Amino acid sequence: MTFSEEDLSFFGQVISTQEEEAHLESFRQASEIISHGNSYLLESDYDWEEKQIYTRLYRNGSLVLNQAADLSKKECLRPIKEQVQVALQIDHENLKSALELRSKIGKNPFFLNGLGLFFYTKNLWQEAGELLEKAIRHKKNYSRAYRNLSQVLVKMGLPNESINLLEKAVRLNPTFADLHNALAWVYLESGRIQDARHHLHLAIQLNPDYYEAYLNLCLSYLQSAPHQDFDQNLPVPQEAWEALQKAARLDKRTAAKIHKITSWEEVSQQYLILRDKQAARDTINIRAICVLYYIRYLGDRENLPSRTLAYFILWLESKLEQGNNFADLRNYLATFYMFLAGYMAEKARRAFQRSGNSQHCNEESAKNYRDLKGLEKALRVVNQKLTV
Amino acid sequence: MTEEPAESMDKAKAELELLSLEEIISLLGGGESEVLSDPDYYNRLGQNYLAGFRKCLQRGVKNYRIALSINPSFKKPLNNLELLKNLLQQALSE
Repeated sequence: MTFSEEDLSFFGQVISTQEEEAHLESFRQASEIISHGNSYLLESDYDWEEKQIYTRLYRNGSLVLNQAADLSKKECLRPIKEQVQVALQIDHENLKSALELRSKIGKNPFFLNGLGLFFYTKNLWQEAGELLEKAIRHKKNYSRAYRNLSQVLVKMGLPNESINLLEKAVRLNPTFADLHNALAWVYLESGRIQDARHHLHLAIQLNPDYYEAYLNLCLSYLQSAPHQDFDQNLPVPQEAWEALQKAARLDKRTAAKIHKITSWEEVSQQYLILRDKQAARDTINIRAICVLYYIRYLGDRENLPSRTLAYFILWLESKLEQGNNFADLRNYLATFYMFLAGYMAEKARRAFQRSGNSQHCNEESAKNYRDLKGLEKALRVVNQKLTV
Repeated sequence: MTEEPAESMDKAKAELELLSLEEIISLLGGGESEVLSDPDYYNRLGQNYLAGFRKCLQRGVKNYRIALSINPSFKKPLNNLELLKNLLQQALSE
């Protein structure tokens, strides 16, 4: 029997067996960075189906990251071709500077951890792992570096190594709730539910408002509750429901919904909704780029042009406006303004110097020059001390 | 070079308080070697960078205060504000 177009005749209408090819314009742009013998290919294009610009990262030919471009509101108003170009430029600039910074930041554990976090958000596990291990070598009880490295190990498919690392970290710093929660998460992934609960309870004891720990606790009870057959209406697993209620207690509408839950399936559904909300609030990518710019300013200022910093500030402001108004991100924004103020003072001083040095020496320029000289120097010292 | 700096300079002079980040960016794109022998040009340019400097300083302080209002027990913005206060006091006394 042959297969022809007639076979697909449907109510007299012939359905073409050949998919209609839409001749949609491609805006693809690419750039490559070679660093330490590795190739990093960045590619940016407009996805007509998703109506969104995507950037992809290939490490030595393997696709490691495919994510929607995160442009500022103003940049999104540009023509598509320019948006694609800007998205590629930003990613290229960030990645190139991060790769170069590796050999410039020395032994500073904060810088090593921050840069490691940036590579983690780019799915560059090897680069992230090396820096985080180095951060721990130089600061033995650096809890945040332990937590970040444990996440890298999980992503690399090494849960046992991640558990060993976190158990050590918890022994070194038993009062850091994040470590208990991170360890519990890896235990959950490895099916060690009782151990996971033990550490989740400890995390909640240390931080009674720990939203993520309540969600993980809820998941631990959902995992162990009977749910082999979804056709029957299973009763609510009490502990899972309680954990969910505690997670949602600050959100009155969700709390009211959870209060009315009557089945296992509803608990599971609400858990997924809250987990999804939490993921939407996850600002790890913003924080990773903030820390990258902070390190760039302090560790490699000559390669951070003032305009690049100003554009980054514009982007960060737009992220804060979009519901990421967190105290630490505001503190970052304020610090970046201070850094930009340093560049401005330097440029002003130079301009006044050129004005004052000319034959038509302007008294006001000369005074401004003198004032700024001291201020610029003092600001440079202060900027080195600002903490994020 | 994306914009004639003199244009943005006049704007910044007239609307010092309204200087936006976009204007600061366009100011940063201004060339310093455009008019090599005109002291007035450099004086104006310096005035505008000075306006940008003040604006950045203001916004820095404002955002540290917002960070503190979001989380009053967050020590970092408080310490940073203290550092800036000392800097300004020192600069004013000199």
